[in-house]
Amino acid sequence: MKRKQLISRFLLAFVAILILLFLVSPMIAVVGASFSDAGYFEFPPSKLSLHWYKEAFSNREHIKSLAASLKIACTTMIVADVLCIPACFALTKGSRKLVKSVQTLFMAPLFLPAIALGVGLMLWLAKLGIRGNFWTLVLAHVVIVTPYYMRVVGSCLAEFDYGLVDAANSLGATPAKAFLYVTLPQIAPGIIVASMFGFMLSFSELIITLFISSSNMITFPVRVYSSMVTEGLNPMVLAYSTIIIMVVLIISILAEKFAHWSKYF
Amino acid sequence: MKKSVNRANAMIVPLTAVFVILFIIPFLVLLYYSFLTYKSGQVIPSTPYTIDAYQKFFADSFYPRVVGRTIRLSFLTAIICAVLGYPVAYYISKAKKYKKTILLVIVILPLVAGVMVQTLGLYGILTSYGPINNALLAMGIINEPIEFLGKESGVLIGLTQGFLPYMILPILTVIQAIPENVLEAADNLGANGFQRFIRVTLPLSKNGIISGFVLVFGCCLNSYTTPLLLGRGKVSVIGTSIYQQAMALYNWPFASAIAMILIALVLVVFCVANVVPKHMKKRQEA
Repeated sequence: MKRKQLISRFLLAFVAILILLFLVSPMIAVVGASFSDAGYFEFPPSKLSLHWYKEAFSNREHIKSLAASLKIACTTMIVADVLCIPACFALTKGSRKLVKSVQTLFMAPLFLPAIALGVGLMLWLAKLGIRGNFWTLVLAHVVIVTPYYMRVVGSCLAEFDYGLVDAANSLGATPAKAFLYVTLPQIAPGIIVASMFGFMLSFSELIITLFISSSNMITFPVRVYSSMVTEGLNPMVLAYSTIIIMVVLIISILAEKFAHWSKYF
Repeated sequence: MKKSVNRANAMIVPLTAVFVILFIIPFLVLLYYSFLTYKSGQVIPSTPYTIDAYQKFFADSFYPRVVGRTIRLSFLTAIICAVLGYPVAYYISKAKKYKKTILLVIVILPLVAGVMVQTLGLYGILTSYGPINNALLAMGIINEPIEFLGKESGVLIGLTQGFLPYMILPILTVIQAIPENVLEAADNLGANGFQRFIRVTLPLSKNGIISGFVLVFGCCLNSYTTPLLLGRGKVSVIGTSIYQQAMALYNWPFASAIAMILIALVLVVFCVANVVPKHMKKRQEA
């Protein structure tokens, strides 16, 4: 009987790992092909070289788009922190009716099609006469990222023990002090995880950005998309993508080590 | 008490304002535009409003077929994801701390790295000079490269890879929520591993499968990038049609109409997803 158990366990592991490999195969291919010497997407690479990395570091257009993406992602993260986290607090304390309807609203960007929102935003902003504005792009990203904040910070707050705040108050702490020394440290992991999500999702956001960014504010995913649609796959893009994958991987590992983000799934 | 409620309500206001301006109103603008007229390359803001755009949608069979194709691809993707995702979720649920962390990072990585990177990689893998075709040719299984790109098969693979995490995570949550003592009880009553899985774990995790299915199905309906790039513009789905009408033909009314139809579709799926479990529960209790 024990051998049967072992076989079924082995089979499960084998199948699961195969499927997981399928899941990450595109990223492995991108990383591998970025080190290839060929002028096309060659995976596995036949000859290794850093040729495309050299090209990548000297291409002004792409580096500009990377910088734009970074700027937007950082701003989105900060603005989302400022707007969404107090909102999450309010959702735990506010009046029932308001909470329910607003909660559905804040989770809606997950279900409603981004492509529809993109067209609608473009038409609406055009009517307002606002074209290619940095802040509208940031706020649009904040809208997209809000559901993730709701879920992460929300579940963090659900576990939070308000009795501790009461204890702090009864020990003479002002509300501000109670917040800083009791509440904040407890929900800090949740805030960090949500911020990381906000940053990474804003950085890699394509569809809404396609519709409402302007020619002087092309983000990296938009540039990659445009070049793929017009000129086909340029291996230089693989070098950038590899760097991004590495950064995202490091952030993911750090978020797990220091904020245990897997607990939010 | 009232003071804290008021303060709480106030903390919601800024975010709600942003949502009203940049989320609710755009959809209303879409609704508005879908009733406008489009003639010879221009939108003519005319009253009376017309349903021309909607009539155009149903006029010939092309666009309804696009919707049919999108629904078919979404359904297939959701089923494949359910079949592939369950073993992974089960495997992760049984993993211990360190391994589980690594596995979860692997599952989430594609989501945060972005759809562009995934599509890039899949493009290179599925192309006729890519590793899959090279391996199959070298092994003599095929004589000519299989064309995945520009065909529905490529899009299907892309959608599956893209949305698999959305199936794995809900199933994982539900499996992990099954109380230990239920499984122990099954063991004590004499079930072997296989029986315990089929008669206890699987039925108890069916809610996870359903919510994962609905999630993947909904995401596929809304998809744009994957069908466009892996289908090389030859596989038309709802998303690509909307983009084409809006950005290439500047036919805002028609694009808006298609978008409205897509939203209606998504809302139907959402309602069905929320109503069916309650129905099934009622039937069980009856």
